[in-house]
Formats: sequence, structure tokens, C-alpha cells
Amino acid sequence: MKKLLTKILATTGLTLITLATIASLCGGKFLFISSVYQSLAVNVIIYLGLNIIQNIESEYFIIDVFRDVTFILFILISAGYLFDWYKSTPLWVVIIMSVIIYVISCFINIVKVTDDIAFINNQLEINKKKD
Amino acid sequence: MKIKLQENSNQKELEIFIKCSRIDKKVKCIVSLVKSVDNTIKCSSNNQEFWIDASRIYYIESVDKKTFVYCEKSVYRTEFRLYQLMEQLSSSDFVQINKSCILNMNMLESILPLINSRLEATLINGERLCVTRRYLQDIKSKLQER
Repeated sequence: MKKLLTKILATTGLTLITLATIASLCGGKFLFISSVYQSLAVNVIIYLGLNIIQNIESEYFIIDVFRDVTFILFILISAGYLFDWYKSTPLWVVIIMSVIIYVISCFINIVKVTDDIAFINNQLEINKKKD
Repeated sequence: MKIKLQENSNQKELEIFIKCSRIDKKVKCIVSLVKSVDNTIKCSSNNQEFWIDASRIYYIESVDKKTFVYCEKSVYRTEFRLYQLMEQLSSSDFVQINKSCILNMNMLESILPLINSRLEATLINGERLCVTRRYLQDIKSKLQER
């Protein structure tokens, strides 16, 4: 639960930074407080959903990525209609933002997995020496 | 560490008594190992029934709703479902590594990342198993417990 909460808050932070960066490039000056809560709500739904759909494992990594991206885009596009995002932001900007955030999250995940593997192998080596 | 063995013909049940200044990781590890020796699973092979010690098991895999127990050179079938075995063996050194496989951590040699972003566990007998990223944290936690 703690890890899920950390992931949700981290991705919400990443979403807001990406949103602020794109808004600044387009001449925006501020973010609405409602955007912060909307980002948090969408991230909560995405993570809860991913937790369920990731039980469907594939032998191919690319299919797993396709499954995740399709689900994320479906939630984002639906949230866009629900929260009226398309009045101020075109659909393609939302899609590009989500892809950017997904790629950054994947990169952070790869770094973490590499660290975890190094830790596990190191621990196994220590245990072997102890034996 | 001193090991004392006491033989008594009147003793009905095997009793293990551990004396220590405090219950640390090492003591917990010993308790876990002892428990795993006593942990047996009812299996079958060629219409014969066996009780397999958990400490002898390399990994347990579920294929098409059938559960198979893999030891060093033999494979057995068990009527238990994977989640039931996971509950029974969670106090021992067993951990889930993908949705259809639980592994005895004592049989794990190393874990390697593959080019296709998958992970592969190599066992001490050279056998290789697929590890799903979402279970990596459980493996790490299990190692930290020891």
C-alpha cells in the first residue's frame, strides 16, 4: 500500500511538472488548483487499474507495454472529456504528455529494477560465502 | 554456534530447542530452515504417493490448472493449488516469482535481466525460470528477512 501511494504521488508530481513545462512553452503563467486534484485522481485510477490488468501477463514485453499504454490512454482520454480538458488543451497534447510520463516512469523503473537485481545477486553471494 | 544432540528412546516427538542471547536474523534463519524440513507436501508420481520435504523442492509450477513440484531430478504432481502451497510455504524460504511459479530461495543462484526486458532466475542446478518484475520486491524482501 505504501509503495502504491509512493508511486501515485511520484507520477502525480511528474504529471504536474510535465504539464507546467508544456504550459510554460505555450505561454501559460499558472496552473489551476483543480488541475492538481484532477491529476491526482487520474493517477489513482490509473494505478488501481494497472494493478488489476497487470495480472494478465504476456510472454512478450511489447504486449505488456501495449496493454499498459492502451489502458492509460483510455483513462486519460475519458478523464479529458469528464474534466473538460479539451477546452484548453488539444487531445494530441494530452497523448504526448502521457507518453512522455510513461517513458520517464519506465526509465526510472528500469534503474530501480537494475538496483534491485544487483542487491539480490549481492545478497545471494554473501549468503553463499556464509554457507 | 554449538550443536548438541541428545538421543532418548522415550522421546515421542522430535524437539528442537534453540538457546540464544537474542532472536536475530541468524536465529530466524535457523528457525525457518528447521520449519522447512518439517514442512512436507503430499505429491504423487506414477500412481504412487510421496511426502516431499519442502527443503528438497526447487520450485513449484502451475500449468493448465495442474500443479507440479520440481526437485533436483524428479517431478511430482500435487493436488494442491499454487495459492494453497504459497500459504503453507510462505513461512519457509519460498517466494512467488511469476503468476504460476513459486521458488525455493535456497535454490536460487542468481537473477539476470534479459534484452527483452524480462528477468531470468538461474537455479543452482542450472535450470532457468522467468521472473516477473512485480515479484522482484518480494524476492528482495525475502532475502532481507534471512
